[in-house]
Amino acid sequence: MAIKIPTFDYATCIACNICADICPLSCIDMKKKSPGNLKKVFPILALPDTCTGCSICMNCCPVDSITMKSIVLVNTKKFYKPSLDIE
Amino acid sequence: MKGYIGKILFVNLSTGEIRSESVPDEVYEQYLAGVGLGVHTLYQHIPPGADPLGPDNMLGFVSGLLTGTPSVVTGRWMAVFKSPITGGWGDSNCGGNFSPAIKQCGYDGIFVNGISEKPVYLYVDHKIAELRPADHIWGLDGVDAENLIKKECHKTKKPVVAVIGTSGEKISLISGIVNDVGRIAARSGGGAVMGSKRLKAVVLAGTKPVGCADPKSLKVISKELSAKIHKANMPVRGGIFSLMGVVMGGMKRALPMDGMLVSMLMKRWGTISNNTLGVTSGDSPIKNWAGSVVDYNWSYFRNLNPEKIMRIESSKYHCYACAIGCGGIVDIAKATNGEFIHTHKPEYETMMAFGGLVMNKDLNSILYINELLNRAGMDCISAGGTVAFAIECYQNGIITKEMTDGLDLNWGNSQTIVALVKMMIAREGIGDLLADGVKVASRKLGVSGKPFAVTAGGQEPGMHDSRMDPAIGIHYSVDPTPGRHTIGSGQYYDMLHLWEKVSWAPNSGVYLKADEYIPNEKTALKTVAMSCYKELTDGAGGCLFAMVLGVNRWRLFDWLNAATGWQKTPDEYMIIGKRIQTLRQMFGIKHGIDPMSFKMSARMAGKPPLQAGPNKGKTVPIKEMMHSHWKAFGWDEKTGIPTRATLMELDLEKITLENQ
Repeated sequence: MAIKIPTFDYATCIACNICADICPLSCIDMKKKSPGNLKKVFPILALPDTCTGCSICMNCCPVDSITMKSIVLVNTKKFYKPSLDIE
Repeated sequence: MKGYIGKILFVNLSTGEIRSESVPDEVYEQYLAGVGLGVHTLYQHIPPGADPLGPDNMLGFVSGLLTGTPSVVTGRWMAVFKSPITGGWGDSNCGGNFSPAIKQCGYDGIFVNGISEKPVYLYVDHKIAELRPADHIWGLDGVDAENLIKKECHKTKKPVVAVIGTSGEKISLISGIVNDVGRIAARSGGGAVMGSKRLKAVVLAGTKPVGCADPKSLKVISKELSAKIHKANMPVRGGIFSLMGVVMGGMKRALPMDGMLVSMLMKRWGTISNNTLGVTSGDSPIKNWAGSVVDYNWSYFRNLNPEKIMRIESSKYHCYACAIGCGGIVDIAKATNGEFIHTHKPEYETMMAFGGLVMNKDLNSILYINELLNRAGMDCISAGGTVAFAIECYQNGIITKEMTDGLDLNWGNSQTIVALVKMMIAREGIGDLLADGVKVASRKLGVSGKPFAVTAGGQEPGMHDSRMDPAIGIHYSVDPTPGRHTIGSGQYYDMLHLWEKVSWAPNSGVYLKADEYIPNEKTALKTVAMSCYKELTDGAGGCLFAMVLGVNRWRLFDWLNAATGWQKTPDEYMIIGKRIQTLRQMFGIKHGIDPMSFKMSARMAGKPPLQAGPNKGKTVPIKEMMHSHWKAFGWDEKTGIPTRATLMELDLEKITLENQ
């Protein structure tokens, strides 16, 4: 099964947490160490198997540092449909 | 899709009733969200004379209008309530990740009244809202309780939690509300209000994204600002700050200020960048506001050099949506003999409240106290101010050794200070007397009004000296939540460059510092503009450190228009700020507050003047300045009560008459 998962452009990412916070399944974690400043942490897709490719993180990124990249999933656990009914 | 949700949640802890209510668009157009929505709701729901610790008080958790949109540095939440410290309006704000979580549950605010029979916590997601028993977490500190609830409630999305520590449970009037494992919405006594309701925590696990009118335009501004912040760096070591402070403190003229400097400092060091700079420039109050850098000299303040703290910083973190990232985690295993492993990097306020204010030079003790207070959920500013008061009482024989169970309360005795803080947290012995802050303790000791009972309106002031910056003294004294250092100051105003957008905001330019000590219309207009803009910032969920980047960088007016689809001018937005501030003031009037009673203590105004240091001989004519500020605001010049004409102009006549 092919879905899209987020990939991060660390050159423009501002480490603002929005993507990690907004993910409905908490798939993104602030764990990637910056090569320039080892104390600073950036987002990483920590749970790729759980990610449903819903794109919320991409849409919410204030600096467009996230793009959705197609991958093929071999073992899919479940498909969760996040709530998207924006008022 | 206008950035706000359009719904609020009401929870009655006495009856268990939970209901949501729609909020008309006009309310957002008049008050934004955040503190504006908070004061609009509480003004109508809290009856006059309500006991702040009784069932009629309402505690609100509100999110900013821009929170959740693709704007940056707009992720702060606010607790709103009737303050048990002042008896008037109370609010307090904090960063972390709690603010967007409110909106992701489908609400702009959650309002709680009543008192639960047993300890409970409130669980909310985008489908359900329910009260759950909290007996098993009652008695735990804020950090342990949060970690336990997170485990308990984690299903698909990691929940976000706001919780009270043991100080809130013990209804200490200087306690706050803790989120993100040790950050606190600390001021005004919100923790005591939550504790009085037996509400241990609010747990949020919603997943609704927030819509807005024009996300592309919001992103354009965010990218522009983020790139500027990314590029701005300060290639100096923290040791130079004490020298910078000497230069700044000695200058006769105030030069044009650029908020990008603040951003550089915050990015690298956080608020501790002001530690030594504050002491040498005269910004930091020393020895319970009676001393100066001459007393707290290099042999003391060198231990607070920010570089010393950076050496133990293990990681940095950003609050939600923040492009600056002033937060950090520091290792304190060595400093606390293994009792704690980490703590949040202490803020400047904590460093100074338990450093210069009490003449303490032991950095390890400050790090330890920081973690103790974060876990207990006690306000570090108020706790430090109260310890300083207690020491001076002891020195004057008002508090005796018998009363302290043998503790020698001397200036700078770090072991004694730690022991006293622990007693305050546990409400044991003299700690029980001090756990409610200076106002209550001085009344019980019969020394209210003495020079060493330093407060503004009963609340301990922030660690910024009004004798150095009289404008902050005005804000300490005229704001409906007195003693707050985050409302405004002369330096903040100079950095805002509001005059480039707002027709009536005076241009600061280069001016003589001495002019700031003379009450006049221009000074008053500056503090009025500052207050209005700060309320807008709090209505939008903005952070002070982004606000001071200036209106042309952190483009609040443009973001608000892009998020909501409105086409309001900056002048029209400033009217919203004025409306929020006036209704906050009217809240106090409704509850019997005399605005003049919020005047800061004489010692803070330089009466008597200091005999040494950068603030030597400086006196602030605070009463006259309060009158000028009130007049410029359209409030009665003598009493500080908003005039009927102003209420009509701001469309506040109906709400204030109906709810008086």
